[in-house]
Amino acid sequence: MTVREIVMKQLAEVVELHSLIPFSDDITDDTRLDEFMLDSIAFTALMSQIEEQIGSLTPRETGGMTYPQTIGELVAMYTDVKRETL
Amino acid sequence: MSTNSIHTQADNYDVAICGGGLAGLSLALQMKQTLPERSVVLIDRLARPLPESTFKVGESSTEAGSYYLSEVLNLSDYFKTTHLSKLGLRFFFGGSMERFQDRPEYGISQFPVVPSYNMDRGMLENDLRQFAEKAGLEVIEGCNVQEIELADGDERHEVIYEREEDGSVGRLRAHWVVDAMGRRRYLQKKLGLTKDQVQRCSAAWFRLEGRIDVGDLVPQTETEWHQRVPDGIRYYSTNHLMGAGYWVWIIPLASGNTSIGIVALHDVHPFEEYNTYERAFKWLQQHESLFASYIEGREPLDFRCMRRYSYSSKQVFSDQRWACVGDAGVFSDPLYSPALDFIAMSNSFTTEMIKRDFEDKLDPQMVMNFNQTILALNETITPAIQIGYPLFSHPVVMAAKVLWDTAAGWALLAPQIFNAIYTDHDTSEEVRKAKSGYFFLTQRMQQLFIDWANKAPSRCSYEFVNYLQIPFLRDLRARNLQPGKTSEEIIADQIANMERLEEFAQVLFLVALEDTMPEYLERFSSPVWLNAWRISLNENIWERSGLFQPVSPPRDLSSLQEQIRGLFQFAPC
Repeated sequence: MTVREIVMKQLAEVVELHSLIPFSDDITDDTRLDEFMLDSIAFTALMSQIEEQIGSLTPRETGGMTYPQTIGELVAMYTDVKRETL
Repeated sequence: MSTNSIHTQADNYDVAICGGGLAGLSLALQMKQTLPERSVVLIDRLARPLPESTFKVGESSTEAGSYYLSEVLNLSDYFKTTHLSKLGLRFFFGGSMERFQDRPEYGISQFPVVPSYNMDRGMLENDLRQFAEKAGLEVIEGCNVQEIELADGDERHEVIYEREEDGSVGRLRAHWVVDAMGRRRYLQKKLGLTKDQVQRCSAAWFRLEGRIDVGDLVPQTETEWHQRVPDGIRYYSTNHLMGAGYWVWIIPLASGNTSIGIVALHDVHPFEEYNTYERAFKWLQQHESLFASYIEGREPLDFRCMRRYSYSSKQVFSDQRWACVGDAGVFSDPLYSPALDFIAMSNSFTTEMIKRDFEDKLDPQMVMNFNQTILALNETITPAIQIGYPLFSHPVVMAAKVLWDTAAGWALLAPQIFNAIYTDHDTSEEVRKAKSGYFFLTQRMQQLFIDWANKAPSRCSYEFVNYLQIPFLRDLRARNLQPGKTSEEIIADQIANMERLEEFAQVLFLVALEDTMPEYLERFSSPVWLNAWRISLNENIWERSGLFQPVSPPRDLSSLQEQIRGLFQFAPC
């Protein structure tokens, strides 16, 4: 599975479990994560599940953005992490 | 009953708590108060009497953490008579200013009704051991836990310990085992559950004999400065001296000594610059020269340091009957003194799991929920605090950030601790739904603070923000820092609190705009109502991101705007 596929699969599962907002098929990289109304517990669970699959921790870079805001940013963050660990 | 003899055969207990610091002792007391029929043993390396000024940090508590100790553990009279009431958090920004009275100050001027405390950890831990023993706890002192062998199935776990005095070995068995051994993180490491966070900060701390009072840094002739916090009571605050990438704490202790600590961002202040007392003093001379001159010549009672202190975990509780509490689980950034909040929640979760287990009602899903609650709280709080370190040299941005973080803490976290609703699954789920918008809202706000600081120079300034004089915060505090609420009341409060935070976010955005981008203010003429989740100081994305497309019906912001804007003075454009 690609990083994108892993992220999307885990996001769909977390949204299904924790959110009242449906996970539709027409989401894009620009879709904002806040639209799913995930709270910190759900988002922490999402990141843990992704990290289990990708096998590395996500550095919480704090010089700029605190957490990814869009799906594209979330995928990019883990793509960067995976690239660094290869 | 104190047990000083070594058991050559395994004794059996219902619960073994490894580690006798604040987390382990308070858990022991809570266990004995909640489940008096259960046998609980606590093993600790240190034997009494513990030194009154210990090397442990975590002396400042929040109102919620204090509520746990004083009300949940029934120690209210003890705290009122033995430890020092805390005059809230107090920040002095502008580290490089020559005259202390010129530093922008953020704090309060009288003791609030709901108390919090500055605790002498040595005194507290000595006393807690006695209280817990009186409640029926068995204490094995002067023994170092060597190994915890976790059992499968229904077998009892085994704890192997060594008596420091003579090296003899003892064993005991317990149905539940709790790791409260602090940063040793025995179970976390044994089970491969440690999890790094971006570790940007380190700390060093020491105690000085006697009273160290920030009021002494300002001449008595500066009457206005002294009178705005009357009767010299600044001493009782958890005082913070803030400068670029660092803070210095000054905490009064009931023993009459004073705790002082340096916490700093690596990139700006390498650990090697303050990792001995001599270096720390030199560092203070360089960055907080007035304060260094004030304490010069005093000998430290102790000195400790900690490189890259914060960490997280993959799991802190298990339905296989173990738990990690206090620093043995996660370690959050100490700026807002959250350690005791974590202890309150972790201990209450642990007590609840053990209680349910002995009733044959331990639900693995519930254990997972408890886990996720602690881990999410830590992983949200630490980054939210640590993004603030580069902003410490911006008094206005930091005042706004501390106001935001404080409001959120009182609105969303404190009511859960004051009412212990987090152990109730149904209520917790409803509360989660009620505040589900908060996580991304606060991400937006933290980004706003970063961008705000980056848009210097600012037009805005202040001398003293007295945060309990702000009606919005006072109301939030009065409504939420109280126990005895029904689930329905808490859920209704959380919905109302989220509305207040949605309003507060917009008002802080407008202040940031007026401070740094006043030329855009006309686009936000009253009545303003925005999508708070899309606020940004990047004017190029306002339309595209949906800033002007609110997600809730408009409400009047004018009163709150007046309260918050009124805290600051704005230089003419």
